[in-house]
Amino acid sequence: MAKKGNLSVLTDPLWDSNPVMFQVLGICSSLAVTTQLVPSLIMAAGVTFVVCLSNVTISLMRNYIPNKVRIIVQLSVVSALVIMIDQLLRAYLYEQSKDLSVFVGLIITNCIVMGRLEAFAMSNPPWPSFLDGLGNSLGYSGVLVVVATVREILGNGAILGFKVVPQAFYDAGYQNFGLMLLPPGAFIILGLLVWLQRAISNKVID
Amino acid sequence: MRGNTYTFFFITLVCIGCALIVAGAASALKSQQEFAERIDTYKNVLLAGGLIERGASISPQEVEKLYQEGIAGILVNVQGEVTSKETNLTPEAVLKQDKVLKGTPGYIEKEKREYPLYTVSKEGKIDAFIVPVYGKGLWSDLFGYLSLEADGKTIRNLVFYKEGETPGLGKEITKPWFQDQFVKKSYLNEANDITFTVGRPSSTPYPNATEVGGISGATITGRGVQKMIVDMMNLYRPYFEKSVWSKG
Repeated sequence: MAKKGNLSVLTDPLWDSNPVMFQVLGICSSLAVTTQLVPSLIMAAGVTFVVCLSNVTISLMRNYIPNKVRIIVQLSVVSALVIMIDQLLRAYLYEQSKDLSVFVGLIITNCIVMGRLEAFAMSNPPWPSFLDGLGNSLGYSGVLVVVATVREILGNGAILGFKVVPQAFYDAGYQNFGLMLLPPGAFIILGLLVWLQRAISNKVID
Repeated sequence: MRGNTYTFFFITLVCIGCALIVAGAASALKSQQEFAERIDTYKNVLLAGGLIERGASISPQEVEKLYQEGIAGILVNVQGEVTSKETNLTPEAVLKQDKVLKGTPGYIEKEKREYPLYTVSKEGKIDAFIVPVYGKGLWSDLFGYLSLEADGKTIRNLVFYKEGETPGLGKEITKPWFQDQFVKKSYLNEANDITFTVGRPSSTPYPNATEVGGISGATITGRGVQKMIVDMMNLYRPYFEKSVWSKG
């Protein structure tokens, strides 16, 4: 990998090489948790925590990890962090954790986490690894927030639980767009986002 | 090149490290988790009893205070006798008790089983009953609280607090539009027989006192809710017959 400045390590994944829109990773959770904004924000925070910390941890260990078992070592570190998140949620955000705990467990298998460990943390010092993790998880979070915002407004007529579509609209016969709450709705929005990103960013040549 | 011994040594170290972190987190947070779980139960009981509004933000301390002031739990058996003036049984615990097969350890005879019932008191008088209910949806067990007015016949509220149904379809049972239909309905017909129907989806409310509209795309979940109400109320019927209806 060509040597990049720390700044571009942080900013590239926000748009040009966004993990969801460009690398098409982490699609599963982007579809599953984005029916509303609150769970999306919690999920985004969870992934940010896990990606940053696991990147730093693996980067610190990178010179000692035997190559044969590196995936297993990465997985154990990631799993430990994810379980910690799950335990914290259960203690302090119990109501949300009831809905989210399945998906939190699945952060372990989120391709972004393993992808960053393999592609970056295994061959870079801790500080750039941290920035890389932060950049990627923020890129992921951004997509989550956009998708969730669109879905909640169209599907529930609300944002963060507050009604934004005025009652007059409903009285005039407007109905919430139920498809947006189902997985296909998320697919459509995600597809549009990928299209948008590739049309604007000049990075893709295909 | 490092040998196999190094690999084994390294992996053992990683395992112990991770295990310590996980175990540490779990035991350090245990009491806070139990507290959160208890508050969540209280909150749902209060919600079912109509003591707090849906979606109201309320601190855990307030929840605890409201619960201790307004709610009391008792245990009743299928003969309708009150067997204890206290309860800490959750619907999950009741389900567990009902799931034990006959002849296996821990099995309790049907006649001896105890079921929790909560009462809401206002100014020294019973204002409502809250029946913990569970049933089967399409994918998952449904857990909720069904609250009845002081007459023991009219439904005040139905709240689900735990289920694993499909979002957008079966999960609609947790939505206000579905639950609000149950208000002022009854699980008894004119002849005092237990009956309830979750019927076809309808844009206008059902006039029948024992029928509500179902969810399109979630017929099975609807039937589960219907069966849940009938089955559970059959268990509690003797108590209400003995202690509530006769006094009304």
